[in-house]
Amino acid sequence: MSFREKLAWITLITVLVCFGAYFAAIYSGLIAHYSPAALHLALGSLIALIVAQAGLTTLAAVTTPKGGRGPRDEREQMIQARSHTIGYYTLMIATAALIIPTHTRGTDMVDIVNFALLGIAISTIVVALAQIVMFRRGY
Amino acid sequence: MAKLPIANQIRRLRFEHSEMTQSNLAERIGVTRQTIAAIEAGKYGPSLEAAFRIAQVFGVSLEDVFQWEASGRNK
Repeated sequence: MSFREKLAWITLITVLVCFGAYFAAIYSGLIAHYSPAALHLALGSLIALIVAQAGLTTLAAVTTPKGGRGPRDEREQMIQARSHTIGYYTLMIATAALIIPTHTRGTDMVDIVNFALLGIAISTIVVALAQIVMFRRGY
Repeated sequence: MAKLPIANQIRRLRFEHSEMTQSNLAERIGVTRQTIAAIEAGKYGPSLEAAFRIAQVFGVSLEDVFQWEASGRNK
């Protein structure tokens, strides 16, 4: 597995785990969405995401032969461009979809911020998944 | 995924050149080993520059490495 593919897996897993834990706690009702605990969980999830990604990226770099850690080659650049195009459209759709909660009775500002955060998380997951699929199938 | 309409002789040429490894070829043309594997398997079409670099490594012409497989709508 190439270094870039490892990074895509790291992004996928860490975002799924960290954002997944946050949204599961919020939407299951475990934590009131408009409370200090929710804010602490959000910040904790973000810090956990950064620490996990930094740690796992270091591990991936150490376990990858030196030749595989250079700048992106042409195929990797193409995969990056295509996956980010897919991610861009996902983010556009998620952002446009914010119109719905904005105009729904009973939705407050925290809900809208959470939906926006969910849109970012989904588009990041889509980018990572697209990269993994393209690395697996050749481009 | 459909294979590209381009055949290549990279595997044969590698073995004819002292059983050159994919990693070695990758290093010499400045791409990853996975990219060489994808080109060899016909899953990825390299840029013209990379194609010329591969031919240069083996000391052959581009046509000796890559062949257009004219078939169906790709004729």
